[in-house]
Amino acid sequence: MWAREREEREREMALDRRDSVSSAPWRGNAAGSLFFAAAEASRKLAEYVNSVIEALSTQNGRTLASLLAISSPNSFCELVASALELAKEPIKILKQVDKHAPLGDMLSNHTKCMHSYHQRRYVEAFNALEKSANMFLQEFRSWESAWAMEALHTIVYELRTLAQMADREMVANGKIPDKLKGAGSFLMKVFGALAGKGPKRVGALYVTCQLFKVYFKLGTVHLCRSVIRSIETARVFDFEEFPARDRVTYMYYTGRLEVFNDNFMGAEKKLMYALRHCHSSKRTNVRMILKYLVPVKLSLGTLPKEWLLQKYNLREYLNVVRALRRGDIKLLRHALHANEDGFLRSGVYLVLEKLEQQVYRRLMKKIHIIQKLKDPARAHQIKMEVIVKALSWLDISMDVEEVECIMAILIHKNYIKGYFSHKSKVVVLSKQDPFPKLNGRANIL
Amino acid sequence: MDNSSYSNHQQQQFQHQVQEVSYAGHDNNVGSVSGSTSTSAANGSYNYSQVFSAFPPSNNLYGYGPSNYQSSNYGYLQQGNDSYAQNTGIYPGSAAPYQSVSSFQNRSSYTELASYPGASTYYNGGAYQASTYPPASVYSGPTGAWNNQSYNSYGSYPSYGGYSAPNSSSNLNAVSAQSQYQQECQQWADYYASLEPKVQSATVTSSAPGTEPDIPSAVSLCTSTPTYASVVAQGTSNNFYSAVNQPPPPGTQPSWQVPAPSHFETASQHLSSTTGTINNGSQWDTALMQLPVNDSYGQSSEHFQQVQNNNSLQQEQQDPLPSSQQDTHVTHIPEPSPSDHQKPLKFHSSVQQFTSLEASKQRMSKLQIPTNPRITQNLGVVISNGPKGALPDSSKPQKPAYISIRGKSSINKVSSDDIADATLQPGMFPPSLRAYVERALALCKDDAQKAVCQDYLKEIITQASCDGSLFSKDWDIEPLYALSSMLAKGISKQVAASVKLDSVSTRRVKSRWEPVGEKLEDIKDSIDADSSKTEVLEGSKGQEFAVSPKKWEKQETTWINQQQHHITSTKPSKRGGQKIKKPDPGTGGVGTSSESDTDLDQGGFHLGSLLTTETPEEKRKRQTRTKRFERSKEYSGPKGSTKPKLQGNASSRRASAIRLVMSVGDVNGQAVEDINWDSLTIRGTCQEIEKRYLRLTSAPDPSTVRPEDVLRKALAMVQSTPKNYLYKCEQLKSIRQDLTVQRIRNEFTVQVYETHARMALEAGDLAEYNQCQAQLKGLYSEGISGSYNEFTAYSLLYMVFQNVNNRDLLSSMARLSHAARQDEAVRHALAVRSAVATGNYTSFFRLYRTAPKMSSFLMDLHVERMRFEAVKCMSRSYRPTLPLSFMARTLGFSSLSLVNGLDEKESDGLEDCEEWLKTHGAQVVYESSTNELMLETKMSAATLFMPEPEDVVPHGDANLAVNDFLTRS
Repeated sequence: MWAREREEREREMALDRRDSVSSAPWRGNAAGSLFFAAAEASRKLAEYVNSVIEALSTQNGRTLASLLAISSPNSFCELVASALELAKEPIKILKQVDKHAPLGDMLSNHTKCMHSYHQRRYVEAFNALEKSANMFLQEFRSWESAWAMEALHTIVYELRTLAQMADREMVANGKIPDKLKGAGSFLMKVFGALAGKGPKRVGALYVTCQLFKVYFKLGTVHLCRSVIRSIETARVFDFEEFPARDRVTYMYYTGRLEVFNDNFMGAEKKLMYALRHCHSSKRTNVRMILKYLVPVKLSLGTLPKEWLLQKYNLREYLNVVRALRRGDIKLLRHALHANEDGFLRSGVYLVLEKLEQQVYRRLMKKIHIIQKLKDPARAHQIKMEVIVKALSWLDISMDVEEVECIMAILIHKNYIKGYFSHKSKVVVLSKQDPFPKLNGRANIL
Repeated sequence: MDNSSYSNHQQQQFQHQVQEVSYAGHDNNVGSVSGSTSTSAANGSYNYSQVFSAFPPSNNLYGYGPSNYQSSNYGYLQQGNDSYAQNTGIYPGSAAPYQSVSSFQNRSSYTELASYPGASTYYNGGAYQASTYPPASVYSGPTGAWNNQSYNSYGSYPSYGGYSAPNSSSNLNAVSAQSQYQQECQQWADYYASLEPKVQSATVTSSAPGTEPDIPSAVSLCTSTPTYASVVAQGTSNNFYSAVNQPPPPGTQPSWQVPAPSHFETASQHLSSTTGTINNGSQWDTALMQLPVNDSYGQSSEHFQQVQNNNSLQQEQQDPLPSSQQDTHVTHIPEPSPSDHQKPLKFHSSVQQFTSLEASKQRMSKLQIPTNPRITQNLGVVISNGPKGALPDSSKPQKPAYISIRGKSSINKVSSDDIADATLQPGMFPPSLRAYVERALALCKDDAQKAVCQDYLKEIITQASCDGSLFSKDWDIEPLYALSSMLAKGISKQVAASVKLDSVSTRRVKSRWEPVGEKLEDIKDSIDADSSKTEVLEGSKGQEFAVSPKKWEKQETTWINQQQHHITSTKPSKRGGQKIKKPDPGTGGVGTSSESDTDLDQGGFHLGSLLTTETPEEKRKRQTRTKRFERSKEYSGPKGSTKPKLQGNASSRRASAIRLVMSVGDVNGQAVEDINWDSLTIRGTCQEIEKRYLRLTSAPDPSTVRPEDVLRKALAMVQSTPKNYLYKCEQLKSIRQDLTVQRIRNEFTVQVYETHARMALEAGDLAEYNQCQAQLKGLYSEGISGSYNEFTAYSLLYMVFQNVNNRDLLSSMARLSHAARQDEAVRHALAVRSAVATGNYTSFFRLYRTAPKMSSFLMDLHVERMRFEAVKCMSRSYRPTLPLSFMARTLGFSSLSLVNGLDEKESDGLEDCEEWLKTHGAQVVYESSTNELMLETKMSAATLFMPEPEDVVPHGDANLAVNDFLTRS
């Protein structure tokens, strides 16, 4: 150790002499500080490598994960980056890892990535990390136990986040972003390494969730299907054995997928699972779940309390819910229009749009109740003109034919029980349960 | 635009004419040339006939051409001249003279030069254009007659009168060519003038001053031609016939060679008798003829090569030829240098220059010559005339440009080759030699080998002729052993070229609407010429007049320098050979197109020839340079400059690219990916407005690709044509193809796709619509303006009706800008989407009735399903019955006749509605009380069904069924 330092020192001095024409102050402050900095950097790097070696030899996954972390606030990124700049022959130092595991190349790539990341060159960083991750995965496969799962997850996470940053950088430079896609295919590889039987399967769901994030980001949601199948059809491993964190995330994403597929029952089930298992202190997560759960519940006929919406800052749904309560078509349309962009982006617009028929139903129900108060005997007959008038009070101008059509649809879709007489222009409600409960029924055909 | 393109055409035609003339001269006049010429002519005609067969409806093609052209051959010529004049202005002096020379002698060579990309393209273009052009129509008469005549005459000498007519036309052309030449050559003028007095004196003189004057001279020629023609017919007919029948006609040649001289004399006499000018013209012709012949030989396939050999032999013997000019040529030939061109020389000297130029051209252009088969045929027919005029109208007018293009480089080279050939021509080959040549060629397995073999044979023959053993040698026992080694040597060189050629040729054959064959052959020839160039030169060494290879090379280099000098403006393109068009700012307003074309062609040609000798480094440099230019080119490209300047280069570009691929592998170790494919983007030269769509199976051919201005016309034509959708669709597809191939992406592109998308919608052709929509999406995203909102609406509707998954629909809705949502069509589309989502059939069919633009055609897609859902809904919700009148109104049955008034609408709708309900299993009952048909809802609810669609056709419209398609094609 000491010998090497001296060697470096001498080289340093030779360098200095060569560089400066007046080689006088080669022992001066600048040179000295440089030398010391280099020595310090080498020491730090060696320290870092030593801790990696220790983590490897003690099979301490958590420590290893923290050593490999890049973007977390207390990562070794800055330290390694600066040490890498100053140290002489850093590769030599990093190669020492090979004594314990053939991860020298991996570590050199990884530190390169840290260095690039520190300098905010994310594309470079991603490329280095991808190499590092591949090497690590190769090594990970050969380990029988899953002790390094945490480290692998860290790498997976860093790879995904770095890919997003790299893509942003590429877009800014006018290139076509493809790093996230690359990360997705690497994650698939990792998933393949984990998804089989054995102790490593526990980590598969985490990777799956990371994959979901990638696919949702890329808009290639259909790729989720194969992963989901692999998770849900495996009988060997109970879903409940996965960590809660991963289960919630998984249910959240699969619930969203069900929303896209108009499968509100399935979506409700999954989202409810996610909500129930999500730690209540994670408010943002709860909110994300509710953002999809509320529309699903609405379309199934369950209205949330207003305080819930207030608490989780879901104000965009306030008017929707109010419109549903009041049977106010206009309010619903207004609410939809006001938040159109947001709803379109989150993908619930089409769900909310179909609430309109529930609002009509609500309106009919109200008319029915009023008629019952006036004349219980004939309350089940609602004349078209009454409906048209009610709508016009709501500032909705519709002619009879249109209203007729809507009534026909309501009856057809079983929002209302009864029939419509074209001849007399009357909606005849069933005397028994004219407005059947929507709850628990797929009422959207 | 038109002018430029036109000029190209003209140039091409002109070249054709020239070639024809030269051939004609051979056939008719050239007693001296007779042997070689006749063979060449025969070959030419032979090829040509093939071409023709492939390209049968020449008349039709011609018909396409503009009416102006049709007016007359003269008009054609004049036009050609005009373009020429413009060119000349731009061209350096040397270039102009060159052009003229080339026009005289080298046309065939031009077209065929593979190395000289432009030439091949030109040639094709020329053929094309000719066919398309109005002049073509005029031409068609003559050509058809000509073909018939020539063929007929071959068979039996019957109709020479007809022949004479063609001749006259050719004469005219020739005259025009000359005039053009003169104009172009103003710089040349000096030498030319010196030359003219002697050679052309009478004929040319009139034309020389201006193009217009030419016409009269042409007329005179025409008048004189008949006799000439007859003479030619006799002489040539025999020769041709034999040649035609037997590409390598060993036996026949002797016979016709003998007659040829006599013919020539007679012809010349005739000419002289008719006019003093004629005599001169004939001499010219002979000289010219000789040159062209050589070119054709060198370039053309085996036959050609044989011919060359023959020519060389003949040339040796020729010395005693009738025309002193030839002799002079020969003598001068050895000295052909680029510089000579510029200097005003005496007649002889000028001739030499020409010859030298031509020789250089030939070198470069040899390959191209083959492409001209048609021309050559034409020439053969036309041949009667002097050198230039002989060409048929169609081919001539277009070709001039080519000729001019080659002018500089080609001229020099050509002259040497031509000279050599010419010298050889007079003499005749012993039949045994012919047999020997045939045997040698028979050993060759492919074109490359043949080319090598030909070169070798040439060498042998020249050697033999030099030491006088040509006739004494017993060719029957002469060993062929040397050939094998030669082949081995030569093949490597030519592989790339031949490969390319082959591919090209196959492709060519496939394309229907082109005058196929020619190009391929041209290219082949050009390639052969390239490879064989040096060899040929060497072969000619022995002869007194032959130039030593070193000299040649020198010439070439000097020539190159010259060229560069001249072409400064066009340099980039030239350099690149493969490079495309450059914006041509430098050319200036006048006649830029033709000029640039020529320059480019030269450059391309030049490049091609040089490529083989280049070092890898140079290649790389050139590539980078090419790239540099490309950028500017591309930049200018989208603007769609109408000038077809670089059109011709595509084939050369392709050739060079292929060569690069092939050679680079060994030399540089460069991968194919390193090739800059951008530089291969072509610029179309086709002037046909109408073009059939064929899916490309190989690299596009510029001569079949229409430039943007023509495409605009084509679009206008499609938009106004009364023909059915199938026709329109095909035309639009071909337009789209041409756009894609030329990488034109601008407002016009958007217009084309929009037009097609609308028409496809109208016809229910969803597949095409979808393609267009996809393209439009990309185009719009590039910021090219168009009917963005309209097509956004269509795509929304399309997504709704195709049951695209929610996510895609959502994302496309989220992408709508605020402004777009205000658009009528988009709002309509969104409303439709909403109606479909909620199943609101009333609002759907109301929207159906009020659909803006073409939206209703898209909504048609969903009407059936919507109706079914609606009736299902009605039958479940209405009790007990529902009047059909209401349903017909609600379900849009009455919408069609809505315009005609309420009564009619109701009744019509009712019938349709009833019919529809019955086919879908609904129960319709007659209600006597209200005298109305009613839907029995309760019963219907259980019996409703969706019938299997009966008339489903792939393109979505039963009206466009197979029968229609079959009747059309």
